[in-house]
Amino acid sequence: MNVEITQTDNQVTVTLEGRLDTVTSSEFEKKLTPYLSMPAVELIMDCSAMEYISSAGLRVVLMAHKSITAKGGRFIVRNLSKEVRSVFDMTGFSRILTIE
Amino acid sequence: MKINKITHKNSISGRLTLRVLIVSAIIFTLTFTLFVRMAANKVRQEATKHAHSELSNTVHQIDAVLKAVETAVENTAWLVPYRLSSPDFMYAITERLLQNNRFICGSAVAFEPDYYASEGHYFSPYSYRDENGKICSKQLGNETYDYHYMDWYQIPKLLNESYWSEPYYDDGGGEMMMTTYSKPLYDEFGNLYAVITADLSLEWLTELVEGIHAFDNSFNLMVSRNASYIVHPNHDLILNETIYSSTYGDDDESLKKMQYDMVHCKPGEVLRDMADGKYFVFYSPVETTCWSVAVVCPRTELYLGVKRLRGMLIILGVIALMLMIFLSYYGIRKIVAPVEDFSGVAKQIAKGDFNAQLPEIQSEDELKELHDSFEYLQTSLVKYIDELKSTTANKERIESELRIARGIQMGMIPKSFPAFPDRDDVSLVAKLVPAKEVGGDLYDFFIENDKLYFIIGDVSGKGIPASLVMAVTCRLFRSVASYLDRPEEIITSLNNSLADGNDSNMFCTAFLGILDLKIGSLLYCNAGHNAPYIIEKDGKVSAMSVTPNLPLGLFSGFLYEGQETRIEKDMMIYLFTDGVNEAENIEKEQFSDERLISLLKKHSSDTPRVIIDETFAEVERHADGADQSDDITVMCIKYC
Repeated sequence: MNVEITQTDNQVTVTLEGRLDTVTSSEFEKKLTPYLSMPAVELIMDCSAMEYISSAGLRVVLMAHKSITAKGGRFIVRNLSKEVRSVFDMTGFSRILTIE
Repeated sequence: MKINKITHKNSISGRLTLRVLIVSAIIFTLTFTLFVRMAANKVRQEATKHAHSELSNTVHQIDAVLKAVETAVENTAWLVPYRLSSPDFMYAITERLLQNNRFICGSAVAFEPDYYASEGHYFSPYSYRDENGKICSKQLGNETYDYHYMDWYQIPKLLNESYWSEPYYDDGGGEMMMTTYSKPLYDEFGNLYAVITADLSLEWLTELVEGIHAFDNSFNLMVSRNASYIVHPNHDLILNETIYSSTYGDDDESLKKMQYDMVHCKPGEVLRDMADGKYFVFYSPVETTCWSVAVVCPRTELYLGVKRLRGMLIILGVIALMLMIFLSYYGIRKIVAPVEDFSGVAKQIAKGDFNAQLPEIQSEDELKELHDSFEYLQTSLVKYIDELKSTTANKERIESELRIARGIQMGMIPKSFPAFPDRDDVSLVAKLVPAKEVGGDLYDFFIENDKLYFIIGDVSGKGIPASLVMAVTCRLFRSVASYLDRPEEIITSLNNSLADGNDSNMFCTAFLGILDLKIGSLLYCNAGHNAPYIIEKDGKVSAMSVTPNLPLGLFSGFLYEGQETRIEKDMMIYLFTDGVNEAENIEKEQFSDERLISLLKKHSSDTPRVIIDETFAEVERHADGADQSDDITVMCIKYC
């Protein structure tokens, strides 16, 4: 898994490449944590190159969503592939996350 | 591992000693060669100097005698013209010459033929010493002894100068070697009228030359102007052979130089290579007569001192080298001995004795460094072993706790199958295999009032955190389901309980169903879980229609929607967690929904037991040795 994070003013773009499974999700969580405490941030998660997401990965996504929205920011998930989208749909995540 | 004992053949001390020996031997040999060569040169120079000094001494003595004879002749010859009128007075003159010089053994005043009419054709008054040393006189010339043709008369007459004759054996007086000095006499018109002579016995010359003792085992010789031997240890050569005739056939350059020098009145020295060895020949001329005196010395004789010196040096050198080998070998051994000690310590350490006593090193060198490294190795090893021990102990403790936890977790789910042996309207089999000791998958079921309550769930993540949430969910299901009878109510209650204080955002997907065994109606609620499959008797497999509700534990107060369907007799409900369809092989290829569906179709007429076993067998075949990445749970319910 490769994670690339770019920041401009209060907009953070996280580009994810590869698999977000049990092993890689804890690493992803560590990289993401510093941005979650920022107030009123707009965090965009670009998933165009994401191949797979496990329940542990979903947990990190959900945690990011909760932390950012609690501080008045926006959490947006973008470019979901068909397979990953189906996971988001099945678990009902599509209903609470902003997916573009 | 077998460690060979260091043999001396390969030891450091042996190798170092050998190197020291080689270097020393080279230095010694070079020094020795240079020294011996210089010594030999010096000896040769000294010998040359010594030989020439001896020769010069002898040559001067000879010259002195010859000069004295010449002087005596000069001092007497002047009388002759004054007394020409008196032929008899000539006897007095020759006698006087003998009296003046003891070396002169005979003297004559030989006149030209018919000089005195009264005396006849031959007139040569001659004085000599008889056996008793008395001086006698006589007239020498006659028809049988025509002196006018003798060398001593002819040569000075022709050369118009005084002349020393070649040495010769005296005809009259035995084996006595003589030489004659002849001086031509001229009248006022420059015409030769007589030759005055002085005979010189060469007995003393032989004695003098043979008496030169330049070196032990050296011998001396003397050659005349015409290269004839005058003095030689081999008396047969004297006056019979020359330095040319005696060396006939020898083309050596040194010989040619010597021959040339000798007949040309030059001093010098050569090294002659003779049949019986090498000889140094030192030679010096007698100026008056151009004779050459030589000292011949065997080279070995000359270099005897050098040879002795060389022998002594070799012995000394060998002793010194042996001493050096001995001292350096033991010296180096003493220095490297600690290395062997270190080797012993290393073996002890390898056997587990980390506190083995290190050899003491006083010096501040590489050995001290080795010592310190060993010391560091020991302390580090002790530290690491201690850490390893405690880590191992901790790991063992955790593993043992995990084993216990697994036991507890497995105890929370029903595991005795067939689940309802006393009922013929339902058959249920379930199986859960966690990826680690404990896992986050769950299932449970029970029948109350002919209704089958069942749940399958998957907590996000794996391991201990997931297992705690799983335990809570299992217990909550039992207690909540006992008083609520609609799936969505039970799920909503579970969600609220789990979401309360869920700071770590753990969640649990779940599918909960209530099957009325009397009429076959199925009420169910899905909380973000995979849609179960319905397997029909004719082999049709279809995913249940599920509302994509949120998983449990995320948002308190979320309202879940319930659904309803009808189950016919002999239909099967197949529930599973994503550990099945997302099981991966080494190439990270997932088992996939398609493969699962085809498996279910294949076994649609089999019992739940068979379907469960075949599912695990097929997943294992797919994994093909890859580690199980997620917990796997399958539940199969057949309504009969």
